[in-house]
Amino acid sequence: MRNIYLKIAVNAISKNRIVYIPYVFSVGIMGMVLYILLTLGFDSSTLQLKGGETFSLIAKFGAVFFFCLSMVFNIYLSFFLTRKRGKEYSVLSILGMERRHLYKIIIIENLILAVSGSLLGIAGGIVFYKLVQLGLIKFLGGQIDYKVAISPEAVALVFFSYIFVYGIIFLIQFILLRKRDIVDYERTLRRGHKRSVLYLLLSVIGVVILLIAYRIEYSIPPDTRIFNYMQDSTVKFIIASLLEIIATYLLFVFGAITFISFLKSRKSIFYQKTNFVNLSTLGFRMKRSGLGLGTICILSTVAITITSSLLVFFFSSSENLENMVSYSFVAYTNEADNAGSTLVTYSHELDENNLNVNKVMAISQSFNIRVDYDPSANDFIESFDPSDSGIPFDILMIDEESYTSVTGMDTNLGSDELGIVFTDRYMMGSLSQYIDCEGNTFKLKKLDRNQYVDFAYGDSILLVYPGDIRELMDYYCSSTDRFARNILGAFDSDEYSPDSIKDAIEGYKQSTGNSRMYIFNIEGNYEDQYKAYQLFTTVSGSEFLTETYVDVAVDYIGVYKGLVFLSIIVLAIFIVMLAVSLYYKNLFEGMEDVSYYEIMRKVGMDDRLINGTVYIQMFISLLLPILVASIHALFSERYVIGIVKTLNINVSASFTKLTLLSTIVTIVIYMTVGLLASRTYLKIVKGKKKEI
Amino acid sequence: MSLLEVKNVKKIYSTRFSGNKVVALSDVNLTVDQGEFVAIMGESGSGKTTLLNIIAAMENATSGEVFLNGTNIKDIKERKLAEFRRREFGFLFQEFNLLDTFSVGDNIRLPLVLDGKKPSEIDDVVLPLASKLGIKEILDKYPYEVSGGQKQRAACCRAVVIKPKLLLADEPTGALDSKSTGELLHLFEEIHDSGQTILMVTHSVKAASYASRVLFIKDGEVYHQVYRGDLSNHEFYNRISDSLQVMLGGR
Ligand SMILES: Nc1ncnc2c1ncn2[C@@H]1O[C@H](COP(=O)(O)OP(=O)(O)O)[C@@H](O)[C@H]1O
Ligand SMILES: [Mg+2]
Repeated sequence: MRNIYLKIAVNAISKNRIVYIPYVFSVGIMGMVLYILLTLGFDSSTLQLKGGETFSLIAKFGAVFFFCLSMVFNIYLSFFLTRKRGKEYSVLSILGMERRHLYKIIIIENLILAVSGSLLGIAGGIVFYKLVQLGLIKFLGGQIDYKVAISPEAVALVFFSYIFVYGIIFLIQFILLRKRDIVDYERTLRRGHKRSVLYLLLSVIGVVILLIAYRIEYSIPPDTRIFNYMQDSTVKFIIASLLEIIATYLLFVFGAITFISFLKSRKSIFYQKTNFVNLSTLGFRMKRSGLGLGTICILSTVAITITSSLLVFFFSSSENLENMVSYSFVAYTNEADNAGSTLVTYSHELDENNLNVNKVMAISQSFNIRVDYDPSANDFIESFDPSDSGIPFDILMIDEESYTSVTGMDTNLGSDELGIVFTDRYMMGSLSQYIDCEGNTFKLKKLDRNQYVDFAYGDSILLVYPGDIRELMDYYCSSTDRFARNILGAFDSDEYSPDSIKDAIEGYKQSTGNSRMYIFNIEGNYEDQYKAYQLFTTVSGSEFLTETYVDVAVDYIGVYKGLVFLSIIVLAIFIVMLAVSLYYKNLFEGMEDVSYYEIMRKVGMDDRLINGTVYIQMFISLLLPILVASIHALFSERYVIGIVKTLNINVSASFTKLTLLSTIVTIVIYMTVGLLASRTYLKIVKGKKKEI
Repeated sequence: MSLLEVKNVKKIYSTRFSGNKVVALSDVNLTVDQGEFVAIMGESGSGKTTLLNIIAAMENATSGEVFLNGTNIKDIKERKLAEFRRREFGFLFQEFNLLDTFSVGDNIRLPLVLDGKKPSEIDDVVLPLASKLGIKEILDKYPYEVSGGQKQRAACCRAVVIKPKLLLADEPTGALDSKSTGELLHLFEEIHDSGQTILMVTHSVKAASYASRVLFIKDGEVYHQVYRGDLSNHEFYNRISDSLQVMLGGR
């Protein structure tokens, strides 16, 4: 090794190997997960699985998310390490090393760490990828090819992400070292103890910012399904989250100290054995660990929110999955007279494939109109959410006879009545009692929702007309152009001309007369149903227009399982990260605190009190961030529920309950890890006592 | 009956990895009477710190016994040991050893709080003592905010606040400049005059000359001792200095 800097860097790392081995190891694990997620995202064999396309998208998204998470974590660890090595660096500069050269060494150190971490990660990823893939295939169903997949994209991305992260880490180190000596930095942390007024002020600001953040989150409307609401909500949520992060740091750094100072000023509380030791130690440490606790809190918020959102998604969607598709597919034709032969062929095909029809229903007539809602003209609907103006929605019409035959419901409409069924989506306003159609006034009668209506007609209003539906069409066709123009969305506005509309309407009226809609219900799971659907499309050719939601369901299952899979990985990693950072925290502090506890013992503190102090501090420093995180998470309810609803899922699970559940689970995990870490700590601080 | 009695104490360290044995103390015998101010001198590595630790039950002797007020400290139950140390001993070290996490005042209050004194009574004890030792103004400061001399006076205050039977001091002036050293030694004199028994390890002849008796440790044994008797400070100083020369010369 001729390069002196390389030599110093390698020496420094190997001298600190007790610190760097677990560090590189955990950084490697993060790289491994990143590699696996990326490879899953890019691997073409994933795409061949059921729902694989969605899954691959989720994997890529997960990779980005995971990258961010691990970056925060890695930077946090490096901050620790830099501080630990600060004395070494200042010794080097005292020995006469120029800053320039010091940076050179640090850059080389970072390069070594980045390269060894990424190599470890990529190697581990390649080894474990097959395993993960096997598990995934078992999960999603499908075949595997046994070649070893090395994804060059994933390799490159992992490598560059490491370079990127270590670039940032170097910047931080650069700033830390440039501003002041690290030793001085420690001293600065200790100073400022007396600035209690400033601290109080900053804590109050923290509380205010937090309240504002909560207020913003709470102002997110409970239903974010309307598009511009969705955007607004996301913006609000992001702003609130940023405010929450700022407030969390303010509170953990300044608020905690202020609170402890307050407790310390009450003699009757403070001058108690355990309080005395704990409050003093906590108050002192808080200045240094406040940042760390804030970070743990924010990471926990992310973990708890994600966990409970996923749980809401799981519980709601497993229910939704069962009722998701109430029929297998719909087929429309305009030549109902010729449909018979196709249906016969189809039934043979079904027999050959061992598929059975549960039920087929034929509906004779229906048509739909698209309405551009204009708030100033309230022909149809009296009040409607103004922010929703301009969203076209469908109004479907069906004759009463067909409706009864499909749903099996008795409607009993009078001749001046119009049945109305909401399929619920996009409908926020209330409806007027009457509909005025060119002088004919119909009284509206609300009919109950029905699963067939839901899925046969999409998301819209369904009008049920007691007579021949063509009469109703006439009313509309002769009414305003605005309605006419929108029949079936057949005309783009620039192609609009009165004649073309008339022609279209006539054509439409005629074809409607001979139109039929068949609703098929096939026995078996979604995959069978999808197979039956595909069979029908091959048999029927262009005669029929077909539509199914079964493929959505199949995709949906992919999403569902993919999310389960990803969340297990992410949560497992999260726990590993937590364990590693706690290990470091206790290792470093243990090393620093050895003499501290020696004095404690000489002053006459017994081991029980010392143990108690360590455990209580562990307890508080873990519990506090989680509890705050849990409150943060609770406030994200509205946004999360909105997102889940956007996925077209009826939310049936309670976000609050699930958040509390995941908080409890997190606490149990943290406490277990915390107890183990504290034992390491105690072992270190008591280590000196060992003798013959 | 003497306050402290150390009988045939032996201490052997074996390093954990190499298994090498180090004889820190081979056979120490000494007694300290109530109200005495005893100084212990010896070369670095002669086992002085080890001896203090064994006396205060911080470490176990390999063999031999230590009696305090006639009680063999080996007989004290593990559970009671911390309380015993707190009540019977005050500690003072070269490195001051104030706890960074406590303010100076709280460092001093610590033994009283640990002893379960009533919160309202604690400052009745601490404040007069602090003003006697001249550190009343720095009680709210933190150890890193005050000078070495102030730290040592605070540590001294902490050591005697509970009125221990025996004040153990391990090179208390070792890290102080000569002015602070003088102040601290005067303090010791005062405390001693008010009836406090003191056992002090020191390298400094000047410090030792404040004591009423000086023990010299060599090769893990008490090699020699000198009494002040009726000697003046100056005469005693010379006596100690001479004895030291003899001990160091005879190596
Ligand atoms: N914990 C220990 N383990 C091993 N050897 C020790 C330990 N403490 C002290 N020693 C050894 O015992 C001897 C006496 O040490 P010490 O009592 O600290 O001397 P002094 O205080 O007189 O300078 C020294 O040789 C030292 O190396
Ligand atoms: Mg010593």
